[in-house]
Amino acid sequence: MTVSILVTNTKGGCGKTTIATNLAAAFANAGFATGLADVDRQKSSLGWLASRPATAAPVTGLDWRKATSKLPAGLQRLVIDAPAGVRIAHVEDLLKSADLVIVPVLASIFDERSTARFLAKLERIKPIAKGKKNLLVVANRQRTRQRSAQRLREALSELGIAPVAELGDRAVYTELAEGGLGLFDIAPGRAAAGRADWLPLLRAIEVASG
Amino acid sequence: MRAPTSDREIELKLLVDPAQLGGIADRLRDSPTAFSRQAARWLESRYFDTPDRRFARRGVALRVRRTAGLGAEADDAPSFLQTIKAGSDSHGAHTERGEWECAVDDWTPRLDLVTDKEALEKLGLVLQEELELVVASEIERNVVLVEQPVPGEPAAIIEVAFDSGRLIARPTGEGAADRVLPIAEIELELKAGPTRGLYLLLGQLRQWGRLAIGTEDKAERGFRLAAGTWPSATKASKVTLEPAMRTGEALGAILDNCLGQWLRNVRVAADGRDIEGVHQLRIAIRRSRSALSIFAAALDTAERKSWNKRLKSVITATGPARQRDVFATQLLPTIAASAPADAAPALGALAAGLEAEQSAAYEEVRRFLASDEHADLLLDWASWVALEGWQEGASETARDVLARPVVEVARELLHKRHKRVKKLGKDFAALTDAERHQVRLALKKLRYGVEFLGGLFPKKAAKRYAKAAAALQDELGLLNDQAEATALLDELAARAPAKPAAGRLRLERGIGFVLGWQAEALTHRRDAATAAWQTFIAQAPFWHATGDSA
Repeated sequence: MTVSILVTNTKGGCGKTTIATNLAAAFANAGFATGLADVDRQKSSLGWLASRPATAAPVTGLDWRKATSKLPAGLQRLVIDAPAGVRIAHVEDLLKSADLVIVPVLASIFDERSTARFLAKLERIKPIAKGKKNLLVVANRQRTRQRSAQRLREALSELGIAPVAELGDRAVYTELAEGGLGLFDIAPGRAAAGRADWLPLLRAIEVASG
Repeated sequence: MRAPTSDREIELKLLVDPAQLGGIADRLRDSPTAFSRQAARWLESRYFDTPDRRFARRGVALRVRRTAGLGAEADDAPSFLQTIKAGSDSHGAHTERGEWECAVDDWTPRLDLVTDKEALEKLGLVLQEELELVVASEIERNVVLVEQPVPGEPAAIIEVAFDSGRLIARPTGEGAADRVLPIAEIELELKAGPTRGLYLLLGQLRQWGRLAIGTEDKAERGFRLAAGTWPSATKASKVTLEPAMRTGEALGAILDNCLGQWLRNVRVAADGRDIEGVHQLRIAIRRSRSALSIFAAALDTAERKSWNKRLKSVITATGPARQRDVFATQLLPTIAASAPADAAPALGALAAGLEAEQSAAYEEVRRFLASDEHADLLLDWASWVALEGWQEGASETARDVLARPVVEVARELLHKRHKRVKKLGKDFAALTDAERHQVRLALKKLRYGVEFLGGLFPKKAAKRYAKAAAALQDELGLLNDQAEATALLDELAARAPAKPAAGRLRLERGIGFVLGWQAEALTHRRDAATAAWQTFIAQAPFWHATGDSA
C-alpha cells in the first residue's frame, strides 16, 4: 500500500516544492520506496530530481503534468507537488490519489487572504469535510521572532486552524536544493535545527496516515 | 496452521509462580524430549519509542538486547541484537507476528539497518533523534530445546525459555522514581514443525507446575508501567472463512477468534477502569458458547455440555459487575436527565448505594480472573481449540459434518436458527415477558451465527439481515436490562441499612422513581420491540440467495 501526500496551495511561491522535495527525501532516507509526482508545468520537483546525485537515497520521479500515471510496483510513499493557480476541481481530482493534504502558507497579507479562500474551499471537499482525509497546514519560511509570524498565527486561528508545524526561513534549503538534496540527506548534526522544525509535521503525517 | 518462517515468530507465553520456575525447568531438562540445554544467559533489554508513543499505538516494539554469559562465562564478549516486533495477529493463546532482527554494536538502535519493507511500514517514518528509552528489562534466561512429537505430523522443534527477572520502567517527568515489576515466565517458541506441538508440550509442563496464559508481552507491560495508563477493551476481530473450508476448520477459526477476544480483555476486566472490559469478556464467552450450540451437530453432546457449563462460570462471576455497570452508566443517566430537579437527592442516594456494591462486584471479578479455576479453564480451552479436541472421539455423524464444506453446513445451521426464532416469536405483540425472553435467547444464537458465517454469502443481503437482527436484539436487550434493573433494585433495597431513616427513605424514593419511570417506558419499549420484530421478519434469508459470495 502506498501512502500519498498532496502538497498544494493555489498561491505560488509559498514553498510547495521545498516541502514536497524535503518530504520525499525524508521518506527516502528512512528507507521507504519513495516517489515524487510533479503536476507543475514548471517541473520544479522534477528539476530537483534531475540534479539529485546518484549516491543520495533514491526517489522515483513521476511526471503528472498531463495526467496522473500508474504507480510503480512496491512504492510505499508518494509525495505529489501540485501547481500554483490550481483549480479546486483539479485538487479534488488529485485528492483521489492522496491520503492527506499539506497546505504551506506564508506570513504575508496577500498570501493570508488568498490562502483563506483556498482553505475554505478545501475544507468543503467531501473526504476532508467528513474527516476522512486530513488537512495539515504548515507555516512556511517563518521568522519566528518577527511580528508577521505572530500575525499569521492569529489569522489562521481566526479561521479555526492551528498550523501543525512552523518551518523556519533557512538558507540551507536553497543551498541543498541546488544539488538535488534536502534536509534529510545530510548528516543530522548539520541540520539539527531544521530537523527539529520538521518533527511536528512528520509526526502529524505519521499519526494521520498510520 | 502456519509453520514459522524466518520473519515470523510463533510463541506461547506462560506465567508461572517464581518458586516453581526452576523446578519445571529441571524436569524438562531431564525429559527424553529435551535434546539440548544451554548455559544460563544474562539478558538486558531496552525498549524504545518516540515521545508521542507511535510504536505503542501501532503495536510495534523496537528493542535492543544485550546478551552475556553468567558466572564463569560472564566475561565473554556480550552481543547486541536489535529486534522489531510487529503487533500480534489475532490468534488464540499463542502469538504469531513479524519479527526482524539484526546485530548492532551497542545500545543505540539503528534505524538505518531496517530495510525490510514490512518492518518499515510497521515503524513508519521515525527520526533517530526521536527515539527514547521507555522501559528496560533484566532477565536470567535458561533455554531448553525440545523435540515434541506430534501424532501424524513431523515433530515440533520448540525453544523453551525460562525467564526470571524484572522490568524497569522510567516514567516521564523529571525525578520520577523507576517502577519495577518482577518477571517469571516460560516462553515456548516454535522453531519448526506444527503449532499443535506448542500445546502438546504445554500439557506436559502443566503436570509439573501451576501455569497461566500470559496475555501481554514484556514491552506492552513495560509501556503501560512507564506511562501509568490502564488497558482498554478490544472488540472481537472479524471472522474470515472461505466457502471451501471444511466445517471443522471453520469451527476452529471461529473458536480461535472468540478466544482471542477473551484473552485480550482479561486484564482489562480485572483492571476495571474501562468498564467495556467486563462487557467484551462476557461477549467473548457468549460467542464461544453460541458457537458450541450452533455447531452442536458436529460435537459430542457430553463434551459440549461440559464446556458450556465451565464457560458459564465466567458469565456468573462477572454478571453482578456488568449488571451494575449497565444500570449506573446507561439506565440511571437516562432517567436522571429527564427527572425533575427534586428527584435528584433520591437518585443520588441510589447511585451512591450502587457504587458501594460495584466495588464488591469488581472484587469478585478480580478474584475469579486470578483464580486457578479461570487459569485452568483458559489453558484447557485454549488447548482444546488449538488441538481440535472435537476430532477426538467424534461420532460418525459428527465426523461427517466436520468434513463437509462449511458453506453447505452454514446454510442448514442458519436456516435452523432462523426457523426457531420465527417460531418462538410468532404473534410477537402478544408474547409474555418470559416468551419474549426466549426469543431473545434464540435470536442471540442466530445473530452470532450470522456474524460467524455471514461472510460466506452475498455481502449486501447478509449485511441487511444482520442489521435487522441486531436492531431487534438491541430492543429485546433494553427490555431485558429493565427486568434486570428491577431485580437489582430489589436486591439493593433488601441489603440497604434501615438507618439512618432519612437515608433509607431517600434510597427508597430513588428506587420508586426508577420503577415508575420504567413502568412508564415499558409500553413504548414493547412497541419499539414489536416494530423491530416486523422489520426483522420481513428480511429474506440471505443464505438462500445465489450469486457471487466475494
